[in-house]
Amino acid sequence: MSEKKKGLKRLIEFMQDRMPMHKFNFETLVLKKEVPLHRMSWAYYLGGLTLFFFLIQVVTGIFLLFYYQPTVSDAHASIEYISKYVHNGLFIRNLHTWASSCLIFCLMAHALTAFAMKAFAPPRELIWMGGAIMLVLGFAFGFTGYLLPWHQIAVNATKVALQSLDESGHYLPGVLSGAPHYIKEIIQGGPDVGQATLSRFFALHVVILPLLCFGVLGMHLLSVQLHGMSQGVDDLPKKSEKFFPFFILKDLIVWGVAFLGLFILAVCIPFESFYAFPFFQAYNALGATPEGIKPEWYFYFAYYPLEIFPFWLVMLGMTVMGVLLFITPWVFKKTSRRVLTILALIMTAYLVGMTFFGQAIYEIVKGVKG
Amino acid sequence: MTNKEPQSKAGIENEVNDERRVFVKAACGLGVSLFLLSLGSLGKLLSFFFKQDLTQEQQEQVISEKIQRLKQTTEEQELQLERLSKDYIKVAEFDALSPIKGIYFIDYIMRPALAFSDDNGIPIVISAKCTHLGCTVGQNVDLQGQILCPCHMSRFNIKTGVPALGSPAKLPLPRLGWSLMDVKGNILLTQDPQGKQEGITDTDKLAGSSLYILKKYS
Repeated sequence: MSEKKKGLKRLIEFMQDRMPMHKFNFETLVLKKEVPLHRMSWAYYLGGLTLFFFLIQVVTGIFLLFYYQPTVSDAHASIEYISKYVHNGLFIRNLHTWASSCLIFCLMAHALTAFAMKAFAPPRELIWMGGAIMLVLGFAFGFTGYLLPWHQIAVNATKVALQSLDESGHYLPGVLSGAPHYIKEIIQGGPDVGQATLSRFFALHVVILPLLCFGVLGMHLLSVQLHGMSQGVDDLPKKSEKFFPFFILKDLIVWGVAFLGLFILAVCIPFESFYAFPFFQAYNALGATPEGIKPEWYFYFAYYPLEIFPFWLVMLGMTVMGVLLFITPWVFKKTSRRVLTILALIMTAYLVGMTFFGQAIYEIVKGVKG
Repeated sequence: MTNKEPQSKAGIENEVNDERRVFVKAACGLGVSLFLLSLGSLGKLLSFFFKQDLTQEQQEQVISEKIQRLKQTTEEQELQLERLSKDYIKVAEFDALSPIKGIYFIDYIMRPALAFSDDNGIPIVISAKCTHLGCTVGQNVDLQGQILCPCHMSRFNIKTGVPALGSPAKLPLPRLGWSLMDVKGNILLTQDPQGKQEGITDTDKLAGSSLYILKKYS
């Protein structure tokens, strides 16, 4: 009984340290808030930039919601209608697609730099956890949003991804081996990817994931405000600048430049121009799968290994990395920033390598095999 | 701030007034430019919600495309209903079967399947759902008598369904049971999923019949 009480007391103390609400006042949040100045200071902009792209997604997403129709017969037609006839429809849609890629890029960059700067050190564990959850949510947003236009590449890529999930059951022991199949059935909602799947993905993409995201984002931002910016380097930074009005102004300038860049991209380059046209025809349930089905670029880091290495190996690797992502604050508690930076660089090299050269690596490996 | 000593009280007032004037001017300029900017961009953004002006031709196109998609959906629903209610489903005409290009159809559990004929003209009916990750296998038969899954390059022998060596798929494509029936509904030739045949194998006598899949084999 007393031990239980002790445990509860410890939990309360833990939470009090993580959420120092007594600091929630004008003085700490506005007058005294400072940003350290050192050679990694540029990384402090990445979180804000991620937030900026998220806001763009919210606004453009609401815009698209006015015309999009989530049914298998109308989804593709409504997307075409937006692109062809709605005033600035193509622009808004293109903005949404480009910003989704920018958002995921910033999410990854933010996570990697936060890791290298040890921004998860106590008492910031929960900030990191929130970020890790939002990273997963970001990928979930991408995955669910990909299906909504209901074109060939979308439906077929979703089929392959869900089937891969099903396959992973073969590598799990005993009772667990059935779990991936159940999860797949829940996500899919029918015997095949169809109306039920579209409805589910739509609900996830526009209601469930945003609600989750707003909650976690609120916690993440609030605790960053309470704790202030993390130190970021080993020696106590000698210089710092005030958040108001200096850093926030620079932050806004970065947002402005980002918006300009995004605007130019969205006006000039249709996102779909990266793929061959037949992929964007409406999904045909009675025809063959077109050649070259691929996920979005931000899934290449998992997709190409799946193509190259044995399934179980990749699944094991992904599971280890996934668990590691969530327990990072405890695993790397005593690791120096130097080592963390090296680890982050290795991870960056892996991500860049798989994203840009995945196809080349795949061809070399397959060529050697053949 | 200037270093110049103000000569008199009136001088100070003038200077302050000058500063104020500049500030007000700048603020007004900024305000007006921001107003114009937002007017331009908001007008553009707002027009997203305006009624679309489609020409008659465009309207016709939109509606006919919509009808076409609805028809496609209806077709799929009818297929589903047919599979629930009927014991036999017609897949293809016997004479249309080819050894080099398969005919797609949907099996009893709404999965894609393919019908070919072998060199003797006897039907080959196999599932077209790749046993690797579930893509729909291609319908064209290569010179080795194999069909290709476009997703991960698995090749399957159409006669046995067995994947070629080195394919990511390990399990064979399952064979489906079928029957050939004439116009009167008499079963001429039938084959169960294990490959056991029963009936006439003389292709001359089978001409004009149709290929069906059977519910009892699903």
